[in-house]
Amino acid sequence: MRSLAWLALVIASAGCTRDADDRPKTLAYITEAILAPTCGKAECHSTFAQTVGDVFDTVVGARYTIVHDPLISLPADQMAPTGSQLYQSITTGLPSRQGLSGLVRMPYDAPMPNEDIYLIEAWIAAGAEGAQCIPDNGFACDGKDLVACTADGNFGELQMTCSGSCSNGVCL
Amino acid sequence: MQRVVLERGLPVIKHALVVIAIVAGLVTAAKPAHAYPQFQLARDATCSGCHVNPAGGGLLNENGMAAAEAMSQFGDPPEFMYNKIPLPSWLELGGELRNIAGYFKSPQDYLALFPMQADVYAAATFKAFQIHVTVGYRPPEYGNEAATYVWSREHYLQWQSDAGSNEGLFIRAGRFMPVFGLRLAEHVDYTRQYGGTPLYGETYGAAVEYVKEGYEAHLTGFVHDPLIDPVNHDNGAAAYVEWRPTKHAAIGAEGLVGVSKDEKTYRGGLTGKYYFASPDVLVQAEVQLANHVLDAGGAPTTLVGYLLASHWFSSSIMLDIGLGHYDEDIRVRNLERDCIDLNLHWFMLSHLELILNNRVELFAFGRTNGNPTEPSGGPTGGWSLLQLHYRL
Repeated sequence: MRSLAWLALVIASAGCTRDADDRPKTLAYITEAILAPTCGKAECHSTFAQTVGDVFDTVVGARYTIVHDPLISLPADQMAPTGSQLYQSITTGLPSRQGLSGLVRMPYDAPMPNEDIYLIEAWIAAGAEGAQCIPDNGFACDGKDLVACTADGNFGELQMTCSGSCSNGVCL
Repeated sequence: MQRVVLERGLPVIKHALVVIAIVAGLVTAAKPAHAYPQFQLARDATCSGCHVNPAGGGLLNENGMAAAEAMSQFGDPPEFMYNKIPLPSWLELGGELRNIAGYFKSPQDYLALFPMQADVYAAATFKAFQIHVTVGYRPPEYGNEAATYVWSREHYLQWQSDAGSNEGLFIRAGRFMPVFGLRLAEHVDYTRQYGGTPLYGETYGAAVEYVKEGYEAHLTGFVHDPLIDPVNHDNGAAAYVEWRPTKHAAIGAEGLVGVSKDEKTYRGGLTGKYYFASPDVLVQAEVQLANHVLDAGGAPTTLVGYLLASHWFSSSIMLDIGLGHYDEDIRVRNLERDCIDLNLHWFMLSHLELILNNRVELFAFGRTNGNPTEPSGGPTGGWSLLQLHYRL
Protein backbone atom coordinates (compact mmCIF):
# COMPACT_ATOMS: atom_id res chain seq x y z
CA MET A 1 0.00 0.00 0.00
CA ARG A 2 2.93 2.29 0.63
CA SER A 3 3.89 2.17 -3.02
CA LEU A 4 0.36 3.17 -3.93
CA ALA A 5 0.66 6.17 -1.67
CA TRP A 6 3.94 7.07 -3.34
CA LEU A 7 2.34 6.75 -6.73
CA ALA A 8 -0.44 9.15 -5.76
CA LEU A 9 2.06 11.56 -4.23
CA VAL A 10 4.36 11.58 -7.24
CA ILE A 11 1.48 11.96 -9.68
CA ALA A 12 -0.02 14.77 -7.65
CA SER A 13 3.28 16.58 -7.32
CA ALA A 14 4.07 16.28 -11.00
CA GLY A 15 1.60 18.96 -11.91
CA CYS A 16 2.60 21.50 -9.28
CA THR A 17 5.66 23.43 -10.32
CA ARG A 18 6.18 23.73 -14.04
CA ASP A 19 8.49 25.85 -16.14
CA ALA A 20 7.60 27.52 -19.38
CA ASP A 21 8.28 25.40 -22.42
CA ASP A 22 11.99 25.95 -22.98
CA ARG A 23 12.56 22.58 -24.59
CA PRO A 24 15.17 22.48 -27.37
CA LYS A 25 13.78 23.21 -30.82
CA THR A 26 15.89 20.58 -32.52
CA LEU A 27 15.12 17.52 -34.56
CA ALA A 28 16.97 15.35 -32.07
CA TYR A 29 14.83 16.51 -29.17
CA ILE A 30 11.57 16.44 -31.07
CA THR A 31 12.29 12.96 -32.37
CA GLU A 32 13.31 11.37 -29.10
CA ALA A 33 10.89 13.17 -26.79
CA ILE A 34 7.82 13.54 -29.00
CA LEU A 35 7.82 11.61 -32.25
CA ALA A 36 9.35 8.34 -31.06
CA PRO A 37 6.88 7.67 -28.22
CA THR A 38 3.81 8.76 -30.17
CA CYS A 39 4.48 8.17 -33.88
CA GLY A 40 7.38 5.70 -33.75
CA LYS A 41 5.61 2.86 -31.96
CA ALA A 42 6.50 -0.64 -33.06
CA GLU A 43 3.51 -1.24 -35.28
CA CYS A 44 3.48 2.28 -36.75
CA HIS A 45 6.37 4.44 -37.94
CA SER A 46 9.16 2.52 -36.26
CA THR A 47 12.32 1.34 -37.94
CA PHE A 48 10.75 -2.10 -37.48
CA ALA A 49 7.58 -1.53 -39.52
CA GLN A 50 8.21 1.73 -41.41
CA THR A 51 4.54 2.07 -42.24
CA VAL A 52 4.13 3.87 -45.60
CA GLY A 53 7.90 4.27 -45.55
CA ASP A 54 8.01 6.73 -42.66
CA VAL A 55 10.29 6.32 -39.64
CA PHE A 56 10.09 8.43 -36.50
CA ASP A 57 11.86 6.43 -33.79
CA THR A 58 15.41 7.52 -34.66
CA VAL A 59 16.87 10.90 -35.52
CA VAL A 60 18.29 9.65 -38.80
CA GLY A 61 15.00 8.04 -39.76
CA ALA A 62 12.93 11.09 -38.84
CA ARG A 63 15.25 13.39 -40.79
CA TYR A 64 15.02 11.23 -43.89
CA THR A 65 11.23 10.98 -43.62
CA ILE A 66 10.69 14.70 -43.09
CA VAL A 67 13.01 15.77 -45.88
CA HIS A 68 12.20 13.04 -48.36
CA ASP A 69 8.40 13.08 -48.18
CA PRO A 70 8.68 16.16 -47.74
CA LEU A 71 6.77 16.88 -44.54
CA ILE A 72 8.47 20.27 -44.28
CA SER A 73 9.26 22.36 -47.34
CA LEU A 74 11.81 25.06 -46.66
CA PRO A 75 11.83 27.99 -46.80
CA ALA A 76 8.10 28.24 -47.51
CA ASP A 77 6.98 26.36 -44.40
CA GLN A 78 9.30 28.37 -42.20
CA MET A 79 7.19 31.41 -43.05
CA ALA A 80 3.93 29.52 -42.49
CA PRO A 81 4.54 26.42 -40.33
CA THR A 82 0.87 25.56 -40.07
CA GLY A 83 0.88 24.94 -43.81
CA SER A 84 3.50 22.20 -43.56
CA GLN A 85 2.51 18.60 -44.15
CA LEU A 86 3.92 17.68 -40.76
CA TYR A 87 1.81 20.22 -38.91
CA GLN A 88 -1.32 19.39 -40.84
CA SER A 89 -0.89 15.65 -40.33
CA ILE A 90 -1.02 16.10 -36.53
CA THR A 91 -3.80 18.69 -36.49
CA THR A 92 -6.38 18.70 -39.26
CA GLY A 93 -5.22 15.49 -40.90
CA LEU A 94 -4.11 14.70 -44.45
CA PRO A 95 -5.46 12.43 -47.17
CA SER A 96 -4.62 8.81 -46.44
CA ARG A 97 -1.56 7.36 -48.14
CA GLN A 98 -3.02 3.88 -47.79
CA GLY A 99 -5.97 4.50 -50.08
CA LEU A 100 -8.62 5.19 -47.47
CA SER A 101 -11.02 8.04 -48.04
CA GLY A 102 -11.12 11.16 -45.91
CA LEU A 103 -8.49 12.91 -43.87
CA VAL A 104 -6.35 10.95 -41.43
CA ARG A 105 -5.05 12.73 -38.37
CA MET A 106 -1.93 11.33 -36.75
CA PRO A 107 -1.31 9.67 -34.41
CA TYR A 108 -4.56 7.87 -34.94
CA ASP A 109 -4.51 5.69 -31.84
CA ALA A 110 -4.17 8.61 -29.41
CA PRO A 111 -3.99 12.38 -29.77
CA MET A 112 -0.78 14.37 -29.40
CA PRO A 113 -0.64 17.02 -26.65
CA ASN A 114 -1.11 20.59 -27.76
CA GLU A 115 2.21 21.65 -26.21
CA ASP A 116 4.03 19.22 -28.47
CA ILE A 117 2.22 20.55 -31.51
CA TYR A 118 3.19 24.10 -30.51
CA LEU A 119 6.82 23.05 -30.11
CA ILE A 120 6.85 21.43 -33.53
CA GLU A 121 5.29 24.57 -35.00
CA ALA A 122 7.92 26.74 -33.32
CA TRP A 123 10.68 24.42 -34.48
CA ILE A 124 9.53 24.71 -38.10
CA ALA A 125 9.24 28.48 -37.75
CA ALA A 126 12.83 28.53 -36.51
CA GLY A 127 14.02 26.69 -39.60
CA ALA A 128 13.48 23.01 -38.70
CA GLU A 129 16.99 22.59 -37.32
CA GLY A 130 18.32 19.13 -38.12
CA ALA A 131 15.72 18.36 -40.78
CA GLN A 132 16.72 20.79 -43.53
CA CYS A 133 18.44 18.23 -45.72
CA ILE A 134 19.80 14.68 -45.86
CA PRO A 135 23.58 14.59 -45.36
CA ASP A 136 24.02 11.54 -47.57
CA ASN A 137 22.76 13.53 -50.53
CA GLY A 138 25.70 15.94 -50.21
CA PHE A 139 23.88 18.95 -51.61
CA ALA A 140 20.55 20.55 -51.00
CA CYS A 141 18.44 23.45 -52.17
CA ASP A 142 17.88 26.14 -49.60
CA GLY A 143 14.96 27.46 -51.59
CA LYS A 144 16.84 29.17 -54.35
CA ASP A 145 20.49 28.17 -54.39
CA LEU A 146 22.53 25.00 -54.08
CA VAL A 147 24.15 24.53 -50.69
CA ALA A 148 26.08 21.84 -48.89
CA CYS A 149 24.26 19.66 -46.39
CA THR A 150 26.02 19.37 -43.05
CA ALA A 151 26.40 16.13 -41.14
CA ASP A 152 23.66 17.16 -38.73
CA GLY A 153 21.13 17.79 -41.47
CA ASN A 154 21.36 21.55 -41.84
CA PHE A 155 22.05 23.82 -44.78
CA GLY A 156 25.76 24.56 -45.11
CA GLU A 157 27.91 26.69 -47.32
CA LEU A 158 26.72 28.03 -50.63
CA GLN A 159 27.88 25.77 -53.44
CA MET A 160 26.29 27.41 -56.47
CA THR A 161 24.01 30.31 -57.17
CA CYS A 162 21.24 29.02 -59.37
CA SER A 163 20.23 31.27 -62.22
CA GLY A 164 16.84 29.65 -62.31
CA SER A 165 15.32 27.51 -59.62
CA CYS A 166 16.82 24.76 -57.48
CA SER A 167 15.18 21.41 -56.89
CA ASN A 168 16.27 18.07 -55.41
CA GLY A 169 19.86 19.24 -55.00
CA VAL A 170 20.24 20.43 -58.58
CA CYS A 171 20.17 23.89 -60.17
CA LEU A 172 17.58 23.90 -62.93
CA MET B 1 -0.15 0.68 -36.38
CA GLN B 2 -1.39 -1.09 -39.44
CA ARG B 3 -5.02 -1.35 -38.77
CA VAL B 4 -8.01 -1.50 -40.95
CA VAL B 5 -9.56 1.90 -40.52
CA LEU B 6 -13.02 2.89 -41.53
CA GLU B 7 -14.35 6.33 -41.11
CA ARG B 8 -17.33 6.49 -38.85
CA GLY B 9 -20.55 7.61 -40.39
CA LEU B 10 -19.69 6.87 -43.98
CA PRO B 11 -23.05 6.41 -45.64
CA VAL B 12 -21.63 4.14 -48.31
CA ILE B 13 -18.51 2.16 -47.60
CA LYS B 14 -16.34 1.28 -50.49
CA HIS B 15 -16.73 -2.45 -50.05
CA ALA B 16 -13.88 -3.59 -52.22
CA LEU B 17 -11.46 -1.24 -50.53
CA VAL B 18 -12.63 -2.32 -47.14
CA VAL B 19 -12.27 -6.00 -47.93
CA ILE B 20 -8.79 -5.47 -49.31
CA ALA B 21 -7.86 -3.41 -46.29
CA ILE B 22 -9.24 -5.98 -43.86
CA VAL B 23 -7.35 -8.80 -45.53
CA ALA B 24 -4.22 -6.69 -45.62
CA GLY B 25 -4.63 -5.82 -41.97
CA LEU B 26 -5.21 -9.42 -40.98
CA VAL B 27 -1.94 -10.55 -42.44
CA THR B 28 0.18 -7.59 -41.51
CA ALA B 29 -0.31 -6.53 -37.95
CA ALA B 30 0.15 -9.29 -35.43
CA LYS B 31 0.65 -8.10 -31.88
CA PRO B 32 1.62 -10.42 -29.10
CA ALA B 33 0.08 -10.23 -25.72
CA HIS B 34 0.80 -12.32 -22.70
CA ALA B 35 -1.10 -13.98 -19.94
CA TYR B 36 -2.16 -12.09 -16.90
CA PRO B 37 -0.09 -10.90 -13.97
CA GLN B 38 -3.47 -10.33 -12.37
CA PHE B 39 -3.39 -14.01 -11.44
CA GLN B 40 -0.25 -13.62 -9.39
CA LEU B 41 -0.97 -13.53 -5.64
CA ALA B 42 -4.67 -13.91 -6.39
CA ARG B 43 -4.27 -17.36 -7.97
CA ASP B 44 -0.62 -18.33 -7.65
CA ALA B 45 2.48 -16.86 -6.08
CA THR B 46 4.73 -16.63 -9.10
CA CYS B 47 4.59 -16.40 -12.90
CA SER B 48 6.42 -19.71 -13.13
CA GLY B 49 3.62 -21.26 -11.10
CA CYS B 50 1.55 -21.31 -14.30
CA HIS B 51 4.06 -20.68 -17.10
CA VAL B 52 7.05 -22.53 -18.44
CA ASN B 53 8.83 -19.21 -18.77
CA PRO B 54 10.05 -17.87 -15.39
CA ALA B 55 9.08 -14.37 -16.52
CA GLY B 56 5.53 -15.43 -17.40
CA GLY B 57 3.67 -15.41 -20.70
CA GLY B 58 3.61 -18.00 -23.44
CA LEU B 59 3.36 -21.70 -22.77
CA LEU B 60 1.40 -22.90 -19.76
CA ASN B 61 2.75 -25.62 -17.53
CA GLU B 62 0.61 -28.37 -16.08
CA ASN B 63 -0.61 -26.19 -13.24
CA GLY B 64 -1.37 -23.35 -15.64
CA MET B 65 -3.48 -25.58 -17.84
CA ALA B 66 -5.36 -26.90 -14.81
CA ALA B 67 -6.04 -23.30 -13.80
CA ALA B 68 -7.23 -22.46 -17.31
CA GLU B 69 -9.73 -25.28 -17.18
CA ALA B 70 -10.89 -24.55 -13.65
CA MET B 71 -11.56 -20.89 -14.29
CA SER B 72 -13.27 -21.24 -17.65
CA GLN B 73 -17.04 -21.13 -17.73
CA PHE B 74 -17.42 -24.16 -19.97
CA GLY B 75 -14.28 -26.09 -19.26
CA ASP B 76 -12.80 -28.24 -21.98
CA PRO B 77 -9.50 -30.13 -22.15
CA PRO B 78 -6.89 -27.40 -21.63
CA GLU B 79 -3.98 -29.19 -23.26
CA PHE B 80 -2.50 -28.27 -26.62
CA MET B 81 -5.07 -28.99 -29.34
CA TYR B 82 -7.37 -30.52 -26.71
CA ASN B 83 -4.88 -33.33 -26.18
CA LYS B 84 -5.81 -34.75 -29.59
CA ILE B 85 -2.20 -34.62 -30.74
CA PRO B 86 0.03 -36.70 -28.48
CA LEU B 87 3.37 -35.11 -27.78
CA PRO B 88 6.53 -36.67 -26.42
CA SER B 89 7.19 -35.80 -22.82
CA TRP B 90 10.16 -33.58 -23.69
CA LEU B 91 8.16 -31.36 -26.06
CA GLU B 92 5.55 -28.72 -25.31
CA LEU B 93 3.66 -26.88 -28.02
CA GLY B 94 1.18 -24.06 -27.87
CA GLY B 95 0.11 -20.92 -29.53
CA GLU B 96 -2.11 -17.90 -29.32
CA LEU B 97 -4.36 -16.01 -31.70
CA ARG B 98 -5.80 -12.64 -30.86
CA ASN B 99 -7.94 -10.34 -32.94
CA ILE B 100 -9.60 -7.12 -31.97
CA ALA B 101 -12.18 -4.78 -33.47
CA GLY B 102 -14.01 -1.69 -32.39
CA TYR B 103 -14.13 2.05 -32.13
CA PHE B 104 -11.31 4.59 -31.79
CA LYS B 105 -11.42 8.29 -31.08
CA SER B 106 -8.16 10.13 -31.56
CA PRO B 107 -9.91 12.67 -31.76
CA GLN B 108 -11.27 11.58 -35.12
CA ASP B 109 -13.69 8.68 -35.07
CA TYR B 110 -12.69 5.34 -36.55
CA LEU B 111 -13.88 1.80 -36.72
CA ALA B 112 -10.98 -0.61 -36.84
CA LEU B 113 -10.30 -4.31 -37.12
CA PHE B 114 -6.84 -5.77 -36.73
CA PRO B 115 -5.05 -8.90 -35.55
CA MET B 116 -3.00 -8.73 -32.38
CA GLN B 117 -1.19 -12.00 -32.31
CA ALA B 118 -0.63 -15.18 -34.28
CA ASP B 119 2.14 -17.08 -32.53
CA VAL B 120 3.16 -20.69 -32.14
CA TYR B 121 5.29 -21.69 -29.14
CA ALA B 122 7.57 -24.64 -28.68
CA ALA B 123 9.67 -25.70 -25.72
CA ALA B 124 11.93 -28.73 -25.72
CA THR B 125 13.31 -29.96 -22.41
CA PHE B 126 16.48 -31.97 -22.01
CA LYS B 127 17.06 -32.50 -18.30
CA ALA B 128 17.96 -29.06 -16.91
CA PHE B 129 18.02 -27.37 -20.32
CA GLN B 130 15.13 -25.99 -22.30
CA ILE B 131 14.96 -24.46 -25.76
CA HIS B 132 12.12 -21.99 -26.28
CA VAL B 133 11.04 -20.77 -29.70
CA THR B 134 8.17 -18.49 -30.66
CA VAL B 135 7.32 -18.12 -34.33
CA GLY B 136 4.55 -15.99 -35.74
CA TYR B 137 3.35 -13.13 -37.84
CA ARG B 138 4.69 -9.62 -37.44
CA PRO B 139 3.86 -6.33 -39.14
CA PRO B 140 5.94 -6.40 -42.30
CA GLU B 141 8.58 -3.80 -42.88
CA TYR B 142 7.60 -1.39 -45.61
CA GLY B 143 9.58 -2.10 -48.75
CA ASN B 144 10.73 -5.49 -47.45
CA GLU B 145 7.40 -7.20 -47.01
CA ALA B 146 8.29 -10.53 -48.57
CA ALA B 147 10.99 -11.20 -45.98
CA THR B 148 9.26 -9.81 -42.92
CA TYR B 149 5.81 -11.32 -42.50
CA VAL B 150 7.06 -14.13 -40.28
CA TRP B 151 9.65 -13.98 -37.57
CA SER B 152 10.78 -15.49 -34.34
CA ARG B 153 10.00 -12.99 -31.63
CA GLU B 154 11.57 -15.11 -28.91
CA HIS B 155 14.13 -17.87 -29.00
CA TYR B 156 16.39 -18.72 -26.13
CA LEU B 157 18.18 -21.46 -24.28
CA GLN B 158 17.35 -21.84 -20.62
CA TRP B 159 19.03 -23.72 -17.84
CA GLN B 160 17.47 -24.19 -14.44
CA SER B 161 19.05 -25.48 -11.30
CA ASP B 162 16.09 -27.58 -10.23
CA ALA B 163 14.82 -29.30 -13.36
CA GLY B 164 11.07 -29.58 -13.46
CA SER B 165 10.54 -27.16 -10.62
CA ASN B 166 8.90 -23.74 -10.76
CA GLU B 167 11.57 -22.32 -8.48
CA GLY B 168 15.29 -21.97 -8.29
CA LEU B 169 17.97 -20.47 -10.44
CA PHE B 170 17.25 -19.86 -14.11
CA ILE B 171 19.78 -18.71 -16.69
CA ARG B 172 18.61 -17.71 -20.12
CA ALA B 173 20.41 -16.60 -23.27
CA GLY B 174 18.85 -15.63 -26.54
CA ARG B 175 16.09 -13.31 -27.72
CA PHE B 176 13.47 -12.34 -25.16
CA MET B 177 12.01 -9.36 -23.33
CA PRO B 178 14.14 -8.27 -20.38
CA VAL B 179 12.22 -8.78 -17.14
CA PHE B 180 11.28 -5.35 -15.88
CA GLY B 181 8.35 -4.06 -13.88
CA LEU B 182 4.86 -5.50 -13.69
CA ARG B 183 4.95 -6.99 -17.20
CA LEU B 184 1.26 -6.39 -17.79
CA ALA B 185 -0.29 -8.21 -20.70
CA GLU B 186 -1.65 -5.26 -22.64
CA HIS B 187 1.14 -3.46 -24.46
CA VAL B 188 -0.89 -0.24 -24.40
CA ASP B 189 -0.69 -0.06 -20.61
CA TYR B 190 1.35 3.05 -19.94
CA THR B 191 4.10 1.36 -18.00
CA ARG B 192 4.74 -0.90 -20.96
CA GLN B 193 4.16 1.60 -23.74
CA TYR B 194 6.25 4.36 -22.20
CA GLY B 195 8.14 2.38 -19.57
CA GLY B 196 10.85 0.55 -21.48
CA THR B 197 9.08 -2.71 -22.46
CA PRO B 198 7.12 -1.77 -25.57
CA LEU B 199 5.47 -4.06 -28.04
CA TYR B 200 8.09 -6.13 -29.88
CA GLY B 201 10.75 -4.72 -27.55
CA GLU B 202 12.53 -8.07 -27.27
CA THR B 203 16.31 -7.95 -27.46
CA TYR B 204 19.16 -10.40 -27.49
CA GLY B 205 20.58 -10.93 -24.06
CA ALA B 206 21.43 -13.10 -21.13
CA ALA B 207 19.51 -13.23 -17.88
CA VAL B 208 20.19 -14.62 -14.45
CA GLU B 209 16.96 -15.15 -12.54
CA TYR B 210 16.17 -16.58 -9.13
CA VAL B 211 12.59 -17.42 -8.27
CA LYS B 212 11.29 -18.55 -4.89
CA GLU B 213 7.82 -18.38 -3.45
CA GLY B 214 8.76 -15.45 -1.25
CA TYR B 215 10.88 -13.46 -3.66
CA GLU B 216 12.40 -13.32 -7.10
CA ALA B 217 15.20 -11.43 -8.78
CA HIS B 218 15.99 -10.94 -12.46
CA LEU B 219 19.08 -9.40 -14.00
CA THR B 220 19.33 -9.09 -17.78
CA GLY B 221 22.05 -7.73 -20.02
CA PHE B 222 20.85 -7.01 -23.52
CA VAL B 223 21.79 -5.69 -26.95
CA HIS B 224 19.49 -4.57 -29.71
CA ASP B 225 18.79 -7.08 -32.43
CA PRO B 226 21.58 -6.70 -35.02
CA LEU B 227 19.85 -9.00 -37.53
CA ILE B 228 16.72 -6.99 -38.27
CA ASP B 229 15.54 -3.39 -38.03
CA PRO B 230 14.50 -3.57 -34.38
CA VAL B 231 11.97 -1.79 -32.20
CA ASN B 232 14.33 -1.47 -29.28
CA HIS B 233 17.54 0.33 -30.27
CA ASP B 234 19.17 0.14 -26.85
CA ASN B 235 22.01 -1.84 -25.43
CA GLY B 236 22.03 -2.05 -21.66
CA ALA B 237 20.92 -3.86 -18.55
CA ALA B 238 17.68 -4.31 -16.64
CA ALA B 239 17.07 -5.46 -13.10
CA TYR B 240 13.90 -6.32 -11.24
CA VAL B 241 13.46 -7.68 -7.73
CA GLU B 242 10.22 -8.56 -6.01
CA TRP B 243 9.69 -9.51 -2.41
CA ARG B 244 6.51 -11.10 -1.15
CA PRO B 245 6.43 -10.57 2.62
CA THR B 246 3.03 -12.26 2.92
CA LYS B 247 1.03 -14.57 0.74
CA HIS B 248 -1.02 -11.65 -0.53
CA ALA B 249 1.50 -8.82 -0.81
CA ALA B 250 4.48 -8.01 -2.97
CA ILE B 251 6.76 -5.04 -3.39
CA GLY B 252 9.33 -4.62 -6.09
CA ALA B 253 12.05 -2.37 -7.42
CA GLU B 254 13.27 -1.92 -10.96
CA GLY B 255 16.15 -0.31 -12.76
CA LEU B 256 17.19 -0.09 -16.39
CA VAL B 257 19.99 1.56 -18.29
CA GLY B 258 19.76 1.75 -22.07
CA VAL B 259 22.16 3.32 -24.53
CA SER B 260 21.31 3.96 -28.17
CA LYS B 261 22.85 6.10 -30.90
CA ASP B 262 20.57 8.97 -29.97
CA GLU B 263 20.22 8.86 -26.19
CA LYS B 264 21.01 7.30 -22.87
CA THR B 265 18.03 6.30 -20.76
CA TYR B 266 18.04 5.70 -17.02
CA ARG B 267 14.90 4.21 -15.53
CA GLY B 268 14.06 3.50 -11.92
CA GLY B 269 10.81 2.55 -10.31
CA LEU B 270 8.77 0.69 -7.75
CA THR B 271 6.02 -1.85 -7.95
CA GLY B 272 3.48 -3.01 -5.40
CA LYS B 273 0.78 -5.66 -5.33
CA TYR B 274 -1.82 -6.57 -2.76
CA TYR B 275 -4.59 -9.11 -2.93
CA PHE B 276 -7.71 -8.44 -0.90
CA ALA B 277 -9.09 -11.92 -0.48
CA SER B 278 -12.52 -11.02 0.82
CA PRO B 279 -13.67 -8.87 -2.10
CA ASP B 280 -11.39 -10.90 -4.39
CA VAL B 281 -9.57 -7.83 -5.64
CA LEU B 282 -5.94 -7.63 -6.66
CA VAL B 283 -4.44 -4.14 -6.72
CA GLN B 284 -1.08 -3.60 -8.36
CA ALA B 285 0.81 -0.46 -9.21
CA GLU B 286 4.03 0.62 -10.86
CA VAL B 287 5.62 4.04 -10.90
CA GLN B 288 8.74 4.87 -12.84
CA LEU B 289 10.92 7.90 -13.38
CA ALA B 290 13.16 7.98 -16.44
CA ASN B 291 15.83 10.42 -17.46
CA HIS B 292 16.57 10.58 -21.17
CA VAL B 293 19.94 12.17 -21.86
CA LEU B 294 19.87 13.13 -25.50
CA ASP B 295 23.19 13.19 -27.27
CA ALA B 296 22.18 16.32 -29.17
CA GLY B 297 21.15 18.19 -26.02
CA GLY B 298 18.22 18.06 -23.64
CA ALA B 299 17.43 15.63 -20.87
CA PRO B 300 13.70 15.27 -20.31
CA THR B 301 12.59 13.40 -17.23
CA THR B 302 9.51 11.32 -17.79
CA LEU B 303 7.10 9.99 -15.21
CA VAL B 304 4.93 7.00 -15.90
CA GLY B 305 2.61 5.13 -13.57
CA TYR B 306 -0.14 2.58 -13.73
CA LEU B 307 -2.58 1.44 -11.08
CA LEU B 308 -4.62 -1.65 -11.81
CA ALA B 309 -7.42 -3.19 -9.76
CA SER B 310 -8.75 -6.58 -10.80
CA HIS B 311 -11.89 -8.21 -9.46
CA TRP B 312 -13.32 -11.63 -10.17
CA PHE B 313 -17.11 -11.64 -10.32
CA SER B 314 -16.90 -15.39 -10.74
CA SER B 315 -14.14 -17.77 -11.65
CA SER B 316 -14.64 -16.93 -15.33
CA ILE B 317 -15.35 -13.18 -15.26
CA MET B 318 -12.58 -10.74 -14.41
CA LEU B 319 -12.84 -6.96 -14.45
CA ASP B 320 -9.77 -4.74 -14.69
CA ILE B 321 -9.90 -1.05 -13.91
CA GLY B 322 -6.66 0.75 -14.67
CA LEU B 323 -5.46 4.28 -14.14
CA GLY B 324 -2.46 5.41 -16.13
CA HIS B 325 -0.36 8.55 -15.95
CA TYR B 326 2.39 9.58 -18.35
CA ASP B 327 4.26 12.84 -18.36
CA GLU B 328 6.80 13.13 -21.16
CA ASP B 329 8.61 16.00 -19.45
CA ILE B 330 7.75 16.78 -15.86
CA ARG B 331 9.09 20.34 -16.20
CA VAL B 332 6.54 21.40 -18.80
CA ARG B 333 2.89 22.13 -18.17
CA ASN B 334 0.05 20.36 -19.90
CA LEU B 335 2.09 17.48 -21.26
CA GLU B 336 0.76 14.93 -18.80
CA ARG B 337 -1.71 12.42 -20.11
CA ASP B 338 -3.95 10.16 -18.06
CA CYS B 339 -6.14 7.24 -18.95
CA ILE B 340 -8.87 5.18 -17.42
CA ASP B 341 -8.98 1.63 -18.69
CA LEU B 342 -11.83 -0.79 -18.16
CA ASN B 343 -11.25 -4.30 -19.42
CA LEU B 344 -13.79 -7.07 -18.93
CA HIS B 345 -12.53 -10.64 -19.44
CA TRP B 346 -14.76 -13.65 -19.98
CA PHE B 347 -12.89 -16.94 -19.84
CA MET B 348 -15.47 -18.83 -21.81
CA LEU B 349 -13.54 -22.01 -22.54
CA SER B 350 -10.16 -23.31 -21.48
CA HIS B 351 -8.89 -22.10 -24.83
CA LEU B 352 -11.15 -19.16 -25.54
CA GLU B 353 -11.44 -15.75 -23.95
CA LEU B 354 -13.44 -12.67 -24.88
CA ILE B 355 -12.26 -9.29 -23.68
CA LEU B 356 -13.96 -5.92 -23.85
CA ASN B 357 -11.21 -3.28 -23.81
CA ASN B 358 -12.13 0.34 -23.11
CA ARG B 359 -10.03 3.45 -22.59
CA VAL B 360 -10.62 7.14 -22.07
CA GLU B 361 -7.46 9.24 -22.34
CA LEU B 362 -7.11 12.92 -21.61
CA PHE B 363 -4.42 15.55 -21.23
CA ALA B 364 -3.69 17.83 -18.31
CA PHE B 365 -6.34 16.10 -16.19
CA GLY B 366 -8.95 17.33 -18.65
CA ARG B 367 -8.42 20.98 -17.83
CA THR B 368 -10.23 23.29 -20.19
CA ASN B 369 -8.73 26.67 -19.60
CA GLY B 370 -10.98 29.54 -20.56
CA ASN B 371 -7.99 31.68 -21.41
CA PRO B 372 -7.34 31.23 -25.12
CA THR B 373 -3.69 32.17 -24.68
CA GLU B 374 -3.19 29.21 -22.36
CA PRO B 375 -5.07 26.33 -23.92
CA SER B 376 -5.64 22.99 -22.30
CA GLY B 377 -3.53 19.95 -22.91
CA GLY B 378 -5.19 18.51 -25.94
CA PRO B 379 -8.17 16.57 -27.21
CA THR B 380 -9.61 13.63 -25.33
CA GLY B 381 -9.31 10.24 -26.98
CA GLY B 382 -10.16 6.64 -26.30
CA TRP B 383 -11.44 3.36 -27.62
CA SER B 384 -13.90 0.57 -27.10
CA LEU B 385 -12.78 -2.74 -28.56
CA LEU B 386 -13.82 -6.36 -28.47
CA GLN B 387 -10.94 -8.81 -28.39
CA LEU B 388 -11.03 -12.51 -29.19
CA HIS B 389 -8.25 -14.62 -27.71
CA TYR B 390 -7.80 -18.25 -28.65
CA ARG B 391 -5.11 -20.46 -27.16
CA LEU B 392 -4.09 -23.52 -29.12
